[in-house]
Amino acid sequence: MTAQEILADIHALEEELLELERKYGLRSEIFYAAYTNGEEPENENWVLDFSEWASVYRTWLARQAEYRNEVQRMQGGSPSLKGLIRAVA
Amino acid sequence: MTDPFRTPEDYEIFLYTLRERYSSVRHSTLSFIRRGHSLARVTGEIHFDHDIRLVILERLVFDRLPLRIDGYGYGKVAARQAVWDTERLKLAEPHLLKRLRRQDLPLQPFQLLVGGDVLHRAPDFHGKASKAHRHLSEKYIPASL
Repeated sequence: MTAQEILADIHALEEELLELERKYGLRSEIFYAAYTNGEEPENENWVLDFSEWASVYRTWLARQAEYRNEVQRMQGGSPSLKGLIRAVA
Repeated sequence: MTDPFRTPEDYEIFLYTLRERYSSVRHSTLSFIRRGHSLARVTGEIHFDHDIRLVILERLVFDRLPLRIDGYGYGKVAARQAVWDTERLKLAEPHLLKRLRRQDLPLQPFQLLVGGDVLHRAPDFHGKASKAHRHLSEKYIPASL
């Protein structure tokens, strides 16, 4: 995937993460750390959301890493924006 | 047919032709919704005979092919105008695995989970659900019910 394609995935995933963060009043990274540590949801009704949240967050982490790798590859060692920006009107 | 998981387009066609492929499917409201570049969601219901409905939510990832189902839930099942609470699951998640073990349910990568009352109140439900499951599963979903 190109950097732009990965970024499109990241934005789509962030929309889902934001929705859950608003619903539960908690940043995803805080949630995920507790979740992967085995913390059980206090409320039975949260179980499905938590499972979904963790899954979306994992995919988001993967795409973030892919994006960084792709950008570094394109930059070829220099912190330039050349070739990275694709302005959309 | 070709493997429905080969590409997102194949899976989309598969979902939108369920009724033509399987006589037990009466109606389907499944929608394949693309998100970002290589993500999609499938949401909706499949209606079978006797008012049995399978509510479906899937998260699909296809940055590499064949596409894979990254997360899923199969929810409320209604029978004869009565709706019972059911459970959705996502395997490989610690909380749900624990619950499955407590309920002594089989662990399969794809299952229809129904609330305990359903089997008692609708004695034929299990058979219908099994049939539907077999129809939907074919080669890529292990039969479990």
